[in-house]
Amino acid sequence: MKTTPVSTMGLINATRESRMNLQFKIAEAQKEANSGRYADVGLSIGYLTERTLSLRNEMDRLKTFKDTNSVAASRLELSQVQLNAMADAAGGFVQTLQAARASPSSSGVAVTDAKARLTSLTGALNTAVNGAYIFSGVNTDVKPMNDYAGSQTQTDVAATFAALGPPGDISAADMKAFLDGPFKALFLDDPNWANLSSASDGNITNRITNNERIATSTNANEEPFRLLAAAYAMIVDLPLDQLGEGAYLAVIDTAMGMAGQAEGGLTGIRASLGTSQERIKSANDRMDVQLGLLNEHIVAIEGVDPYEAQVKVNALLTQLETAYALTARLQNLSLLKYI
Amino acid sequence: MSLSASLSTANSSLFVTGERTSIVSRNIANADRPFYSKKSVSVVTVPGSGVKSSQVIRAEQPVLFRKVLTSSSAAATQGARLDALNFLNGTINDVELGGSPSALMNSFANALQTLSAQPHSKLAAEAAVRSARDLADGLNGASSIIQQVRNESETGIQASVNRVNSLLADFKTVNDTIVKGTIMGSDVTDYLDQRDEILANLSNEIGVRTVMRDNNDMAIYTDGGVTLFDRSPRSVEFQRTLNLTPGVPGNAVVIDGVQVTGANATMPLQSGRLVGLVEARDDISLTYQAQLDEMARVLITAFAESDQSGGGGPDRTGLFTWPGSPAVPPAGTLISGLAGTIKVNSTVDPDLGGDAVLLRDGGINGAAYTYNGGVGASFTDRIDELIDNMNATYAFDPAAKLAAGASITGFAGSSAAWLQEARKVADDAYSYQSTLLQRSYESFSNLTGVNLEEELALMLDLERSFQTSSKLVGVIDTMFTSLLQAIR
Repeated sequence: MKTTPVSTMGLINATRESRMNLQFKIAEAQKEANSGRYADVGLSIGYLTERTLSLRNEMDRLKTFKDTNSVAASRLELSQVQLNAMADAAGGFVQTLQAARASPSSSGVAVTDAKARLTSLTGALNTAVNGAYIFSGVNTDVKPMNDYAGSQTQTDVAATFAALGPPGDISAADMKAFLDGPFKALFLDDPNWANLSSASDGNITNRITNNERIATSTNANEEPFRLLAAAYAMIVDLPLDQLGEGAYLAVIDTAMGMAGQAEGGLTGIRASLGTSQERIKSANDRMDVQLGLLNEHIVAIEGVDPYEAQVKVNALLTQLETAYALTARLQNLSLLKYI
Repeated sequence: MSLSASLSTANSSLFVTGERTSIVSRNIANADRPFYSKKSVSVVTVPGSGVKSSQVIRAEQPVLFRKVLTSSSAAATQGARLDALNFLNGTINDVELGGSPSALMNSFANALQTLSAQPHSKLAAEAAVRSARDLADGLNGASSIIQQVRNESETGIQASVNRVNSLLADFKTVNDTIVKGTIMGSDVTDYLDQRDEILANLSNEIGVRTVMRDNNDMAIYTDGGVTLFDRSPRSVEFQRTLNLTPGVPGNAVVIDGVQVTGANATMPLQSGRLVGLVEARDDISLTYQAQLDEMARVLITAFAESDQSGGGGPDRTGLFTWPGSPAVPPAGTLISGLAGTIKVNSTVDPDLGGDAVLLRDGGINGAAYTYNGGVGASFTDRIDELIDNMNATYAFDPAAKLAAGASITGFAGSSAAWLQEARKVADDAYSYQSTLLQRSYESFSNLTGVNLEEELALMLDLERSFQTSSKLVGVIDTMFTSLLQAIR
């Protein structure tokens, strides 16, 4: 008769090993049921770690882009608000000048108005966010605009105007030539403008996605700002009440022309900043979609089905209970009890 | 006369029963010893005068035992390998935690991106430099973990070699006793069990093959074919290095004058803990170290500064430095131990009195290397160049055993994947081999081990036989008495 032998040692070892295995598996399954991910992700997915690491890195990067984009977006938004206010001011100034054109006697109102608007233009161009001046170009740590009052430009204006002779004798044509010539050059020629502005011509550029780099600021050296400053300064500093009618009208008309041109120019700048804003917004929208997808991919690689894990825990617990019961029964099963 | 013959037969039965009982008690006493094999006595009938015990027989299963030895060696190899890999996994841990070199590199890249959005901000620059320092520290830490694994493996190899030597010495004593006992015809079965146990322990350290010879003499060879024991133990030698040099394999193990580990081994060992340890020390650790070293080298290169003055000066190390600074390490060539020595330049580190803004402007190596030629606080060209450098493709040394051309973050990811894949493979192999070991030991133990119930049953049997024989002696005695009385 052939019997299959079994040793006491083998019997004990078998139950002990199965208990140990089960306990280890339960600990693992429990962790998986709780976290929804493999208990030891690296061990379970092996070389796929590269994929999940790169997905995670990509996700972090996109989040960083979203953060940094919000910095650029807030700068752009603030620039838009200020530019809008400047354009409105230019429009309002044109209306004031129209009134002054009709009644030269009320030119004092226009002068006061121009002074206030010039100060607020300087203030607006000196707007700073978070320690950075938004109209400085890349030179963000330097205040872009000096006050016109007391500046070298003001002195130069006075000096060039004095060269024309007594204000009352200036003809309309001479005045026009002066305003479009030497006066305008004081604001539109770069070396002269540097007396008023410390901004850099280079605009701040930002990487808004992995391979998109856009300009996200404008700077105080743009022509509309110069024209606007020139128009205000013209009314502030030229002795309007001493001029003859022709010269007076020439000043008012030139100022109106410059302010109008500046207003148009500002709209152009706003449009280009708006394009940048639009690109940031669409980049952010794209990245939101990407973030969702990336997360899905990560879960697909690292995750376990929590229900399955739970079922596994239950099954293992039952199994372990059986193993315990079996051990106890084996313990009782001895010939000694029967002899 | 036949009555006295009956008496002597009953006597012989009593004697044999006693002897068998002693064997049963020996079996019961040793039931829980792993390599104890069940003993029994062969009883022969002596024609005309009862029974006598001839010799003690040992339950033997040489084929299964050999299987136990080979699977225990294989499991030990995988176990040592897996231990080292799990230890190395400390450099990565859960990918979610972000402590891996790959994740640190990425968070540094993100810090650069944040800086590029707020280039005027000194705080952002300092945050980027600190992030760079975390990365350098991470590489240093990973490198020291590798060094620790290597040094521990070295200690393990030494311990394993010592154990092999002492086991071989024990083996000689037992083997000599067996040979002598066999020649003299005494019971050597317990010594045979001892010898098996020593062999089992030995196979844990080193893969062995055995050859049986006359008089139960045994010779041992390694699985590579080198003699370990032949009448006398051969010396196993190993010169331990206290602190291993990064990038350099450790000393080899020499058995009987033959090198058995390392690249130049003529008869290399195939299995056993020793093999796993040597692999952990020289193969796994060195490859992983090479990967980290290459990461460090490329980082240093990517952040190097070039001469902006037109003076044609050589490129110099920038944000990251190494002992060879300010020279930039040569391209595509592994520099062993670099990951352990990479540092953030103290000229840039705000916590060491440096100026973090140099990261934005350049000029870590003096005015000639300044990129921001007075342009302003929101100069981003240099930062963007650095970000581009991090995404660029570099050539890596083949010693890293990864793709030769990759971006630095991609390379770091592949390195993590390499380690995890190695762990997965080792873990699978280990669980396979240890299950195999369990199964083969189980069947070996089932066939050769003691079953208590069986021994108990046998004891009952012997008890009956003893009682009956005793009764027989009593009856014969009575018969003699009545006979003698009749004669009187």
